[in-house]
Amino acid sequence: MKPFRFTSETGLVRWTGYKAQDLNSFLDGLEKVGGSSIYYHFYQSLYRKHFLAVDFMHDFARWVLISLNLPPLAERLAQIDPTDYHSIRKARERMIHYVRDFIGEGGQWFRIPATAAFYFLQQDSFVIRTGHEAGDLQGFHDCLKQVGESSVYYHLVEARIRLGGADNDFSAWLEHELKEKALADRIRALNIHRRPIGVTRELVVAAVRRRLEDGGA
Amino acid sequence: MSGRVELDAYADVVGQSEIEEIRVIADRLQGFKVQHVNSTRVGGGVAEILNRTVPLMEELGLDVRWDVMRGDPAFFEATKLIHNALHGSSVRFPPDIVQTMREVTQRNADVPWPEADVTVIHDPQPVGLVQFRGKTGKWIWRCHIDLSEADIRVWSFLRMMVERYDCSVFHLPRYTKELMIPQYVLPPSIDPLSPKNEEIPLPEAREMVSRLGVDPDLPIVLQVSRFDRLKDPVGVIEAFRLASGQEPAQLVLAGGGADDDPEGAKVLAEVREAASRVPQVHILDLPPDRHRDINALQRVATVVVQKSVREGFGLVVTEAMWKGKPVIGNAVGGIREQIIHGMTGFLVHSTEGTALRIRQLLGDPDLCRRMGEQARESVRVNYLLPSILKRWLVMFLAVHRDLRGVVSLDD
Repeated sequence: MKPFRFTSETGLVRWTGYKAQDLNSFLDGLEKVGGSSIYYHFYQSLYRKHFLAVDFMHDFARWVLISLNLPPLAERLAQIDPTDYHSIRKARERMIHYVRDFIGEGGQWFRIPATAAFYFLQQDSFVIRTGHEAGDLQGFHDCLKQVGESSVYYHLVEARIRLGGADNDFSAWLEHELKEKALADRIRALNIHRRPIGVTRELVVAAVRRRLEDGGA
Repeated sequence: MSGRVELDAYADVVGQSEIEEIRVIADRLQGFKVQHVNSTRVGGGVAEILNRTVPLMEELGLDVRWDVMRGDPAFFEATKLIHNALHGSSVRFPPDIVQTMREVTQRNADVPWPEADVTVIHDPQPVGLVQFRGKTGKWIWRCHIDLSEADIRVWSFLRMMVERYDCSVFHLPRYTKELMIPQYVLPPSIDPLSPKNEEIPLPEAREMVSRLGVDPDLPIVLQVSRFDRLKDPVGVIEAFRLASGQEPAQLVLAGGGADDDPEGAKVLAEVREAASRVPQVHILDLPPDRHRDINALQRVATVVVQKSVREGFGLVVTEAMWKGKPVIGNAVGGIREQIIHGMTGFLVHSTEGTALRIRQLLGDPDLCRRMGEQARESVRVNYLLPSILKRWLVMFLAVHRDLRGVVSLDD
């Protein structure tokens, strides 16, 4: 059996060189920036400003609402929920579709000042082993309580994009190495984009603890 | 400034796991040579940041040098003009300014450390030292100021030198310029253990506030800023006047800067005059080292206001948010970036808007509490010294080894 090695991620944010001051330049940026920029603004924004997750969740929708003052488009973009999209490409295509359609509707919009421009950023991610390793469920439980939030983020959130679909590193290991499929599925079912990562961690810890109390591996 | 603080002391604030991660990253940087160069060892935000972070980097096993550029009064006068022009002010330059800059830069040719793995040059004053870079080692230009409205003549002059660096690092996305080198965005940080931000038990904070002549039992609306028109202190008094009437409250304007600045003294007189016409306004002209008094005021305040007309990053907003206060901020500069409207405070665009939100928050203690908690959490996630230190360590590795994308540091 392979042990679970807790890994952590630290990000460095870079400007892509694209910025938008109106809808056309916004569309241009959406079409041309690399996938890591879409990832940064669409998924990671939740965790930088996580408690916004009730309304206009990602950076794109919020900028269209607050800076461009276009609520109808902002609502359409906000409705593209990171929970439903495990593919950057599909999320990007959907956003481009809505912006193109909106431009095609021919409404009036304006160029806004540079101070309110949208800067398309991207993140370089540097992953490193934390030194925490688990070989059984009790060890996994103990490590999970100790590691930093950036490690939980890496294994639960970033993993969904890395692995594709709704899977995550914790569930994959629990299912394949410890044969704990029911517990793995419970963690997969958590709606991770709706709450701060610290709260999600508590839920995972509680689920593992319950399984241990039931006599799990 | 308090004494040297060790990294483990931050564990109570950011968690032991964060400290462990910093140490794991630093293990890859044992003996790594870093040189910081700026223009002053005391005073100013850059010196304050370096005074905190250089000892921590040394504790982590890096070989760190902090050098200060040697200049003469003509040089510092020139760099002050350049600084103002980069901030967008209209400036008349003396004809010999370029010559002055070149001569002083030349006299500092021995400052760069040839063995450094990474050299970090802070702000425009020492930017020209890059001409003395050796064949090895990477150079980072850390710009702490807003270049978005920079004078085109000055920026063209600087740009030629900036593009000889390996990368630049700005506080905010909108501070960046179009450059041929990578531009990273890394915000400044606040130190949760400094006198400005260290925990003060509420009874002690209330007593300190009382000693300043402010009643800690009456709700406080607070703005901390030097007496400068760009901070619009008279506008804050007007907003407080408009908001007064429903909820009993007092306004405290706390700051300094009037002693050695004729313009500051003039503004302070105007502020006192405006305050004399509105009940319950306290003007506290404090010396610049009264950090704990400001800390106590922020902790006892009900609502914090930052009505700046222009602002850099606005660390005073970060400090108030860290103390769990909702901040009403004019939507400029870094204030716009920090306040999440309706969640950690309110962004406003007018005196009337400020009044509206003061009244709303004074009348709703639950909203104050909720926003304050969210404000503190936002600072914890984004702007505390240990997490920014961690990102600097990763930056050193990334720049030194030319790493981009998703990279394992274990390979």
